[in-house]
Order: sequence, then structure tokens, then C-alpha cells
Amino acid sequence: MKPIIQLDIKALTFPDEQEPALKNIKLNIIEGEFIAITGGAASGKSLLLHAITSAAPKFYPCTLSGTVKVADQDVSSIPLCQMADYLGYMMQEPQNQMVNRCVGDELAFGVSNLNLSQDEIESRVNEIMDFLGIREFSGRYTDALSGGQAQKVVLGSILAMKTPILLLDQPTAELDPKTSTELYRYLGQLNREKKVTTLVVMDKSGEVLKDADRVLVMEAGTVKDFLPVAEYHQKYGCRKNNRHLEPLQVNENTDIIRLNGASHTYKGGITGCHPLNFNLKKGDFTAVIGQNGSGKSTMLKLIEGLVKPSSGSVELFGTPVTKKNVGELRRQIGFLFQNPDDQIFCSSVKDEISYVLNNKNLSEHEQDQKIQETLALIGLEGLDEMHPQRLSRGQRQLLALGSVVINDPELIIADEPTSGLNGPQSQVVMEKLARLSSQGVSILLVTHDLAEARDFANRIVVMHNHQLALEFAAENMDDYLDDLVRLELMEGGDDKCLT
Amino acid sequence: MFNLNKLDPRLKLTWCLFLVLTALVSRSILLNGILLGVILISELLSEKTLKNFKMLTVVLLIIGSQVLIINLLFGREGELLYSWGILQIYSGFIATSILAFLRIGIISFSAYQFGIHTDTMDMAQMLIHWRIPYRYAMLVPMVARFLPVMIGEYQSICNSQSARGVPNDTVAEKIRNLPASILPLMYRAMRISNDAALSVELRGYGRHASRNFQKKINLHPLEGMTIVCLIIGFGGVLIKTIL
Repeated sequence: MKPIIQLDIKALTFPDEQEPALKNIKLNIIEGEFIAITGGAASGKSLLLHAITSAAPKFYPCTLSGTVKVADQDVSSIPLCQMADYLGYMMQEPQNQMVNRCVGDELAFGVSNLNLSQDEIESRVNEIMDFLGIREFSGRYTDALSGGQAQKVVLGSILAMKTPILLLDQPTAELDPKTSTELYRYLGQLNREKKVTTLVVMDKSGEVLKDADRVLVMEAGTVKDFLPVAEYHQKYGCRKNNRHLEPLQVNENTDIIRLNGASHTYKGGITGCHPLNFNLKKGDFTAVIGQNGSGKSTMLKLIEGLVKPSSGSVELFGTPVTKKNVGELRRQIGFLFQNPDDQIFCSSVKDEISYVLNNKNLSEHEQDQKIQETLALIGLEGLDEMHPQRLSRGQRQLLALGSVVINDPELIIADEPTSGLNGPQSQVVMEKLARLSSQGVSILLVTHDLAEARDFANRIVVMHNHQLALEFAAENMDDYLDDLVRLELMEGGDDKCLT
Repeated sequence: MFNLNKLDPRLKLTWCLFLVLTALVSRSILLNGILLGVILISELLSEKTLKNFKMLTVVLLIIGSQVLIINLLFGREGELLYSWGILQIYSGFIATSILAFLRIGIISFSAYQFGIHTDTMDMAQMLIHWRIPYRYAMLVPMVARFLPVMIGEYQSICNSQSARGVPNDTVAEKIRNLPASILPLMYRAMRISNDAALSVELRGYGRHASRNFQKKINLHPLEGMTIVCLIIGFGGVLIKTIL
């Protein structure tokens, strides 16, 4: 069988770094193979894809000793823009990769660069819109798309180019479970029928393993294992029901959050959410799940006071939220955003952690002690002076959690805090939240990961079509699988189970 | 039905330039008034509403009131109507103010109309027709995409700061927090442009000397004739003004 990608990387080293970021990687990928790539934080998964595209060293200056061949061509001799003849590459953070104002133009961007005829461009764009189910927002502006929609558009733009190789870095990180299952099914179909060689950096769900042939396990910049999926399952095991069983101290008489028929309609009449009646008790750990665009984020914005209710009211800690008291109420809440970079703005880990302490009357010694305790809690001891942007995405999410926890909040609102993180990184973040929850902190978690909701929350609330559709105890999730299928949160069939 | 969005960008640009230059050349309040009226009517015919101009009208009214005050205080055209100390009011201040207001109105409305009714991809194609390499012409749609993205990024930084207890609701508070917001914004701008640059390169940007488009611009003969008429019309106004 003919290898389509041949890697023989002795060392890939960034300037001013002693240790190579990639080293001793020698492997062949056969034409038509479907490879899942996994590994811990900073293990070199994304960098490996950069090396295959030749972006490292052509775009990211570094020294590469060794060779990378794609379709028998040494990529070092192919200009970066010509790599589009061989491969399509989707990086993380889809919003950063879109360069056109309209969705239609973005989908046509790649194929237009290939100088195809107008009819061919039109036909490919139509084909991909129908497949990804994005025709309804083809006329929309790209900056108005949700994370999941943006991910589909960027992917569509790459798939329309019909390259023989696809490199995808966590392509479903921001998609809901059903859409990501559909996407992997399509990638599998594309791989089987069109022999498209596919390399996917695996997200925490592991859904990709259903279609993958082999799994490449990376560790510390090198290949730890490269083995068939069955062997991978045997060696590394599958994610099982891992329900967090530490008892929670829920006070049924105290409402921390109360939405009294609160709704919100955005400018232009776009529905954010219909009237919601919801409460979160003291000490409760509630997970909100729902498809992309089901209204979860609007619900959070209502609670955070970032948007005003169009009808109804919001109460926090028993007090109705008004423009005057929202600032005061927010001080008792810790917000953990989906993207840690949304809340990191200081130039060192220590400054970031201690930001909220500036307004408190604490001595320097007390501040230092609190900072060290928090760093120990989030596992970032010794990194006090490091610039936050030098940390990995998982570490930045932990830093964001630390900057929230240090304020001793009564309530933590976490908006998909594990999106874009791999399994072990997600586990660490969720375990920290679970520990806080068992200490009496109320937690409201928004997630796409049903298993995560089941394992860590004690109550699950489902949003569908901008309203609350279902509510049940997390431990009883297995009894509600049919409802979750009906609400399009998971695939139907006899083998329905959480991955 | 008449739809400004569907017109060729070259016609829209000529129309915009005709309006701006005529407004600057002509001193006739009547002509300037007619031009402003034509802009509003064309917008109304195309969109069935003037709501696109709502914000701009408010801004223009504020500017217009300032123009009126400045002309009232400092205008020296016409006859002296009133004098009190150093304050002297001349009869010409109203006409001058109206003319200035109409000119500002025509320039702003026509430029705004061109901007909102011309697809950025059409602008890029127009530049390519003028022999500007597509790598540069395509900067127009790219910039149009990044402006709202950066505004969104700034908003998310402000939201996260206010979520962490930093007052960031009023303009004064936003100005006070600017240093803390600008640094992460700059970092994000660099990271986004970096990712975008790699993404376009790997999607074949610059792969060929030319580039095709999904929807091509096409100058209809009637549009070509209209462009010629507008140029002749402006020539007429220019000659009439000079003579």
C-alpha cells in the first residue's frame, strides 16, 4: 500500500528553545487511512499537523531536521499556497480562520482561489451547504455565527476544495453531540468512498474512534504509540461511567439563581430565549445542555446581567437584578468563560490570579498566601511570573478558574469550560469544579458533553428551541436517553449510549 | 423592482462621486437640496424604508446644529442684522448654514449608501478590473470582516472584565479601563490575523496569478450609459459654476 504522508522528523525546534518541540517521529500514513491523533497538553498534536502542512517552519519560524513528504513530494520544496493542491487544514478556533463577511463567500473562498469555473464553484458550494445543513444561514454575516455554526462554515470551505488529504484539529470542539456525530459519520463516509486520507486531532468525546483506522498517541513531542483502534481501546480503555460521587450539600430553601419568566429578544427580533422559569439552589451543581443555538448562552447572559430581560425578571441571591446592583451581585459570582482568553488580560499568572484581590483590604502577606493556595489548587505552582499566553489552552483554563476561585464566590457559572480541551485536561478542570461544589459552592455548568454532565452534575436541565424542555437528576440520565434523542442531543438506535 | 444592491459597483461608485463632487462644486441650495432628495428617494425605492440612515441622521443633525451656531457667531455674509459688543449677526448665516448642512449630508449619505449597498466582494472585483492585483484587492472584504470581529473581541473583553467586578458599563468607565482592554485586544488582533493569514494561504490564496469569483460583476450597457451621463452631468455643473 502506498504511503501518502511520510514523516521522518529528527527534531523540530523553536528559536530560543533548548528542547525540540517534535522529535524522533518516523511514520507513514497510507493513502485512504483515517487516523485519530491524541495525547496530553503540549504533546505536539497540532504542531505535527503544522509540520505536515509545512506551516512549521515556513509560517512559524523553527528549525526542522528531517523530511516531511506528502504524495512523494518533499513539502519543503512546495510553496505554502500550493499545499492546497494536496491537503485541506482546519485549525482550532474557527472564527479566526474566516476572512469573508458573508457565509456564502467564505464557503467559496478556497475553491475560488483554485481558479475553478464559476459553475464548478457554485456547484461545490451548493453541495457542501446541503451536506452540512447550512443553507439557511448562507446569506448571514460570518461574525454573527455561533461557535458551532462557524466551525461548520470553515469546515465546509475546506471540504469544498476536495483535497486528497484532510487535516482537522478538533473539528467538533464547539459542536453539539448530534452534529459532531453527523460530522464524523460524513468524514468516515468521505474517507471510505472517496479515499480521502484523514487525520483528526481527537477531542475528548472520542467519537472519531468509530471511524478511525489507527490512533496516533503523542507524548512530549514524540510518538508514544501508533496502533489500530481495537488495540488502542484495549491499551488505553474507554471512557466509562465515572460519576462523581462526593455528596453535595444542597440547601433546598435557598435560591441562588431564580429566573421568573425571563426572556430575551436580540436586536432585529432574533429570539435569544423564550420565557424561562428556572432556579438554582444553594450548593447545587446543575448542568445545562442543549444544541448549538438553543439559547443556553442567552440564558447565561441574562443571569450575568450582560443582557436585560425583555420580559420577566432575574433574581440572584434572593435579590432582583437591577442596573444599580448588578455590579455588587457579580462580585459574589465567578464566571468561567468558554474561551479562557476572554477573561485573561494580565501579563503574568500571579497578576491574573490576584486581579480581584486589588479591591480587597488584604495585607501583602495575606495576598501572597491566598495566591499560593490558589495556584496549588489549580496545579500551577511555580508558574507565578509566567506570561499567561505561554501556557497551554488547558493551563489557561485552569488559570481562569483560579482567578475566579480566589474571590471565594458563592456561585460559579461555567460556560463550556472544557470546550477545546482534551480528555485529561477536561477531567482536571471538572474535578476542580466538583471539589468546589462539594465545599458548598453552587455551580451552573453549560456543556455539550452529556457524559461530563452526568458524571459531575447532580441535576441536568435541557434547553431546546430557546426554552427549557426537560429537567432530571443526573444519576437518572440513562432513563432519559429516548428524550435526549428526541431533543436531538444524541443519535438514536439500539446502541445509543454516552461516549 | 429597483434594487441598489444589484447594481454594478462601478455605477454605484460613479454615482457616489458625482454626488460628492457636485455638492462640493455647486453653491446652489436648490441643486444640493435636489441631490439630497434623490439620495433619500433612491434609498426609499430600493429598501422601502430609510431606517439605514437613522443613526447617520441623528449625527448629522448634531453636526448641523453646530454648523448653524458657528455661522451665526462667525458668518460675515449678507447684511448686518444685529450687533452687541463683539457679537455680530449677518443675514447670510442661514443660507450658508443650509448649504453647508446639505453638502455634509450629501457627502455622508452618498458614501454611506455606497458602503452599505455594495458587497465587499464586488468592490474587490471592481479593483481587480482596474488591474489591481487580487492579493491587494481582496484586502477590502478581509478588512470588512475583521472590523466587526475586533469590535466583538473588544466587547468580550469588556464583558469579562465587568463579570470580574470591573465597572465597565458607561463610556467614562470604558475609557478608564482602556489600558487594561487594549493590551489583550492587541494580542488577539495579532493572533487572529496570524491564524487568518495561515488559513488563507493553505486554502490556496496566491496559488494562481488570477482568481475566480462565485458571483461575477457585470456592467450592463444601460449602466454604462448611466455612467457616461453622470460624467457629462458633472461636467455641465462644473462649467456652469466656472462660467
